[in-house]
Amino acid sequence: MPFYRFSSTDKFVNTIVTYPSIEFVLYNGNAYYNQDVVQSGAYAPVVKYVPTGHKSLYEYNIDRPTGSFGKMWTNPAGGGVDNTGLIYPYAIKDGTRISFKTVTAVTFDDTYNVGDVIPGAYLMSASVSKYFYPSGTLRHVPPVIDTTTTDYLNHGFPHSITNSGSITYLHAIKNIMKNYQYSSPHYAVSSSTAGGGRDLTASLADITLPAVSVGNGAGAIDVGLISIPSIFTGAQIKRGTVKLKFYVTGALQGELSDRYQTGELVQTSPAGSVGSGSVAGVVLYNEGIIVLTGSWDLSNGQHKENYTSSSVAPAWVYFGQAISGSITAPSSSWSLEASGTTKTQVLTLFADAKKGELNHSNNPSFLTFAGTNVTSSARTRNQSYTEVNTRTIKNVVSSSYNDPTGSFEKTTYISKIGIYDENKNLIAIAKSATPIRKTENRDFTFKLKLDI
Amino acid sequence: MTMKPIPPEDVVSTRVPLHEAIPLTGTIVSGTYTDSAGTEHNIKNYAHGMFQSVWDYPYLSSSANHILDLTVGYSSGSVLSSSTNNQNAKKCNIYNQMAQVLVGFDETSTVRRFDQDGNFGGTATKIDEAIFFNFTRLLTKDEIKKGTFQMDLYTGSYVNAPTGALNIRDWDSNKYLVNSPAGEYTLLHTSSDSSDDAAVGLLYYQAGIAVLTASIFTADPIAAASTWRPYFGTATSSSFSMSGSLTGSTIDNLCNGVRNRLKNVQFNNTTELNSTIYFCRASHNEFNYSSNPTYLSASTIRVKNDEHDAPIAYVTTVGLYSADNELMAVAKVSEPLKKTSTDEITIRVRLDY
Repeated sequence: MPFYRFSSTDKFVNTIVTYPSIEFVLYNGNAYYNQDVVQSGAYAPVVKYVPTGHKSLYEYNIDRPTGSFGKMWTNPAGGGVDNTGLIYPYAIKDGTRISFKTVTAVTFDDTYNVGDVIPGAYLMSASVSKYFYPSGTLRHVPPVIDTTTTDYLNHGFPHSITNSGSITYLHAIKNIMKNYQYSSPHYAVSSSTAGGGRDLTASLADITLPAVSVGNGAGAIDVGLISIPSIFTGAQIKRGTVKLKFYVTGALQGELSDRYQTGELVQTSPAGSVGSGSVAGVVLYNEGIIVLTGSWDLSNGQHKENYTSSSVAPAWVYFGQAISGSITAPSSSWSLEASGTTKTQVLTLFADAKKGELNHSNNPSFLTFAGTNVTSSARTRNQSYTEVNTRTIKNVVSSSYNDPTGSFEKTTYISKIGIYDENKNLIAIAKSATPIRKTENRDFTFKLKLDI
Repeated sequence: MTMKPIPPEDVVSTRVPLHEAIPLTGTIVSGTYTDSAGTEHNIKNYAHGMFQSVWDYPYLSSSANHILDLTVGYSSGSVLSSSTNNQNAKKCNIYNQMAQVLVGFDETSTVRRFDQDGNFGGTATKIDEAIFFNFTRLLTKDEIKKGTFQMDLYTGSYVNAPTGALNIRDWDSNKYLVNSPAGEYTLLHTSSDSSDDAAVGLLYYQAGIAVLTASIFTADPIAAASTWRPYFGTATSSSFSMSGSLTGSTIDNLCNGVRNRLKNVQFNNTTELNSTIYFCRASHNEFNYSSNPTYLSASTIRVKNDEHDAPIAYVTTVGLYSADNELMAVAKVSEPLKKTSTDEITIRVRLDY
């Protein structure tokens, strides 16, 4: 079996980029992904144990019964591993302090003893989510610092934190939005021009707080935020592919699309609709986030519904409200279309079978069968088995006659190509669909591809 | 940025085991996904007929996970081996292939047979007719965790009313053998016997393969020579006993018979997380200055208010460099650490791979 070394021009890596389609239909508290239906199983109510519109992150527990089926094994301390019918990970507490990210340091220290089993879970899923930030609620709750006390280590610092505060997702993406501002001024978090003057991180509630802490509430507006997890989109959302449609009682009220591929979501249809041609939001393509700011009445005064706790007219900031909290808004439905981006590296190898080479095989059937030469000695009764050294290469050249065959020509059939590493370890095998006839005056180049 | 060599005593390698609990009920592997024509959609048979693949869901679904491959074979030296048997060569080849990988060769380059007690030099019974459960790497990961394997198998009567339930276990995590080329293995015993009695099978931890003696379907599973239990197949003919099936049935049909007697399989697996911990030590007189452009303002250090103040730096990142000064890894701290000439910091950087 001959070995050949791949030259530098015989191997290269390229990237295949694909754009998977994503479609979410949002209605009455549910998201429906790519018209997927929920399959009920023989043991589980839902085969993948995830709600409609969700993707299972592991797809490890498929249609399994759940319950309490005793212990798989018991450790001396009396604990052990429960058989719940599901596959789940666990770690055993020891000096390495290995644990799961979902187990807090306090729980790890206080709840578990050394030798205890710390269980995890594989039933995790992801789906599109919608957050609505009314203009009246804070985007950022500042921490409360008690200046009258000292810190717990008594270092003499004249404060301790009694409330660590919180920030909204909207506040958290402030810097990322600014990063996109080269593409469109509508990415500006605070602007005197975009949207007629606004500040996405300001809220009317800021007015009641000291102005120095947060702001003065100027430019506060309602904001809708839609998050699409990367398990749906891959590396990023493909630029220009996002389309949002707002339906009321089945009638299209408005459609947004990034027609200029700048990230601006412009209302493009129906023709002549209220707000047509206006920018109602922006898309953060790399992060899979859509920020909606359009608050005009899409129904032109014809419809009102509980998109919030009160009855209001349909607007882009209320897009997908049916999956936000306990809102149902049963007369409205929404669709979100986009394309993701996935990149797959492919290793391509060219294996050359040159003229005049690879014309011999060590396969036993390559030579004609001539029987086994057995010699024996009458005196010792010893026998020796010797392979006949006059075996000829079997002539497989076809002719019009059954026998004899055509003029002899060295012929091999290539059925496999082995790929070896530098230490001659076989690491991959490529097989052809049918053996390929190789004669001395033929040359072939085999193109081998491997997804990496 | 300042660079400092990390001495060998500050580099520690650790290996941490992580586990998964893997329950596999028998109903998943037999009969759950059968249509009206009797086809089991989670069972894949191949044209070569040498083994059968079991999935946890109809295998044409992209959600299905491959659970195990099931096959049966016997040694060419078995009393059951005969050229007139159904798939005789394939059954011998399966046995030899598994034996080569799991048991290896003796000093004459002959393939060893599976040994009931693992002592090749002893005279213990050989397992000449065996059932092989090849669990997938998806489930066994690096190895099956010792002391956690259990299999409940019906060994008597026929499919519709199975009897003779046996609980086959890897009883003691500390009792394992190392004379296999495929890694560590142990002997599988039934619950009705103490762990010191004769084994009914072997469990190869790293290979993720359970080997059961076909004699488990005899009236006395420990003694291979005893009477084979009748009715392994679906009919009540003696030719459907285990021995009759081994000689007269295809491997696929034998696998169907075993699968339909499988009540439960469960084990835990182990994944080894290899880590290297680098203790990066900043002494009191080191890393107190920064070459960051923002560290200086008009040629004076920003964080100093007075010329007599000690220099201060804030540690945000630890870079690990190779011997050739190539940046190999970066570790970031959750918040900048204040470093002055009056304190020392040790940052523990863990690299998992």
